[in-house]
Amino acid sequence: MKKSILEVKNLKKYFPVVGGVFSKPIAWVKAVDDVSFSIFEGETFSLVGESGSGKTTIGKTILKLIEPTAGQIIAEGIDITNYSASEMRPLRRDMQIIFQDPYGSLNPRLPVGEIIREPLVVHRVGNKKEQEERVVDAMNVVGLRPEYLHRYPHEFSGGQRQRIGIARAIVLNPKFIVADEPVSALDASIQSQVLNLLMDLQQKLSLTYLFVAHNLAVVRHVSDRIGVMYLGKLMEIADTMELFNNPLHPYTQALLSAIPIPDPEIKKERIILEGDIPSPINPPSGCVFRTRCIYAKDICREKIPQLADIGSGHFTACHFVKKGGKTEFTKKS
Amino acid sequence: MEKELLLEIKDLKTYFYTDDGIVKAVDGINLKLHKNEVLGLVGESGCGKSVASLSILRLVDQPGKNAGGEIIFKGEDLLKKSEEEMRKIRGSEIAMIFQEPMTALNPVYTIGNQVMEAILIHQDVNEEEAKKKTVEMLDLVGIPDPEERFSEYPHEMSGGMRQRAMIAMAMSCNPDLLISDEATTALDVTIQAQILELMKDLQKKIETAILFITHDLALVAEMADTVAVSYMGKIVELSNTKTVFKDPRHPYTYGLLKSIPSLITKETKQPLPAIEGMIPSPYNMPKGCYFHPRCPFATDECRKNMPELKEIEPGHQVRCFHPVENTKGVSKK
Repeated sequence: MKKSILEVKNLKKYFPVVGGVFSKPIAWVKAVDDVSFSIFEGETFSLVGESGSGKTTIGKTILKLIEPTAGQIIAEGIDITNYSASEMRPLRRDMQIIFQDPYGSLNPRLPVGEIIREPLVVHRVGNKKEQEERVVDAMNVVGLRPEYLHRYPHEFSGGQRQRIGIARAIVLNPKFIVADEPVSALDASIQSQVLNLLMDLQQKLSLTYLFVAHNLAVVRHVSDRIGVMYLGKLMEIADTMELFNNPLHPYTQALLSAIPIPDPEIKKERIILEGDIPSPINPPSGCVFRTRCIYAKDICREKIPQLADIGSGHFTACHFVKKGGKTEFTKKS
Repeated sequence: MEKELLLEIKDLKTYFYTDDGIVKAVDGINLKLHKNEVLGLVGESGCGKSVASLSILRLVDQPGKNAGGEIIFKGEDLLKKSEEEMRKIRGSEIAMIFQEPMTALNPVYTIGNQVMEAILIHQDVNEEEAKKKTVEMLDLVGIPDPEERFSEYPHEMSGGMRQRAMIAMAMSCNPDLLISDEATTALDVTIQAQILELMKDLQKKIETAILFITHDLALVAEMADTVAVSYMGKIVELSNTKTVFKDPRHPYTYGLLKSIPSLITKETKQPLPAIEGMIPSPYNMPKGCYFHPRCPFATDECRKNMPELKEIEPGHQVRCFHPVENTKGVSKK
């Protein structure tokens, strides 16, 4: 039986859109709208989806860097949804985050050694000497030479900065790391180095990852399970190979077919979706994907499809995907 | 049947004269582009691909300067043209689409006005005809309700729609050459698929040649007839697309193709064969072959001399003393 390290139940995060003289909320951006999933110990669970699908918001909300609007976040059996900042502090030792932008996420005025040491200072771990030892250890683990201790972020390339961000995340020996687009700002030849490092650290430090990314080839390589998001909702969850070999939700099918393939001899049948992603302020009624779905029917407008287990851990939110993975798609006339 | 030569770049050099030294952003590149052909120029950040495209349009800013070479476009050297003559060529015979449609479009003019401006400047038409042609172009690039969208401002449109408007503007004067500089990089994958489809379609209709610049190898595989791989301002490999992807002989191309996560392998969660190290500083370029510090096959010869771009088989040029011999299994989707 796999043990879940984190459970999210009916999570919602609405951001207010303010207007008028008194800056009252005049509308709500439904960034995350009723999302439930679990992350098992030692696995890499990935959230994929296009910009605005809410994947980053989920990552930040479960770390309570953003307060959820509704729903529950359960970390190792404890409901932390309503924890205050001071109640969260001891838990944060176990939960860390790696950011997308290796330029914006490091303090330019601090030398690398201090950036990596900061979490130890905040959590009052050890004396200064012990802290410095741990910083050097962390630097060694991520492949940064300890001589760089006194250098500043601007002296490093994008890939090395990302290593600094990773060293800062692992210095407290966390159990769980949210990696928010950790390689998307990096060049192809550097991307694979950082992915290798993340996979290696997972083995060595028995880490659990929530991996947030939009590059599906990368996600396929690093993940055990994948959740596909669209407009604040989960459309499908499945084991990585199951998702890629047998995508059932029409959005997942279109998304996977849109991946460009670095092989000129393969001409893929591509499902080209019409139109754009609707605004999350005023999402479509019923199924949020229906405005772009080639199979949409009346029921899709009337009823929100629930994310349901159709067998062996494969979840889909579509009216026309039945138990056992049978699909009843017919094209719109 | 030999296609008609449209653009020939001969030994083009664009150098940036900075206080810290000379940066050879484009360092003697040779490229040929035929009528109605798509040439992919691929490389990582800092390889000079964008500077190359700006050099063709003579839009390189201070402290960058042309430092030699020729750009023969339709039989005439663009580098010898007056600024007045260049202005007539830009937008009408050579058009360009940029990565970020939001910054490339003027926020205070409507989309329609911006497309119409290009038509009014370069074509002998009155305002009414130009407007009609603009609406036709907006329709052609798949913008719904083109007559209404004509009077919308860039901020009212989504990223995909803005990029479509940019394409409408670029194609409005039926250019002989379209330069696409990372045109789909800022877009989501399903929108990227739409835009690529549109570009292919228009290329057939309008018979435009495309210089397709990107960092994404997969996109080149889909779009290009010929591929040039650039590393630190020099072309390292040049051939037809199939050859580059099936039989990459330069260690950089080979390493890059091997390092990107595959979409078919079952061996996920395994270390990726990454290229070691990182790109050198442009102020402190290595002696000999620029790639040698990262190359697993480097010898003393590579550390001393810069190899020439040589034809190793008909139509396949490689800049390497020791081209990779066994390239089997490199292309794996």
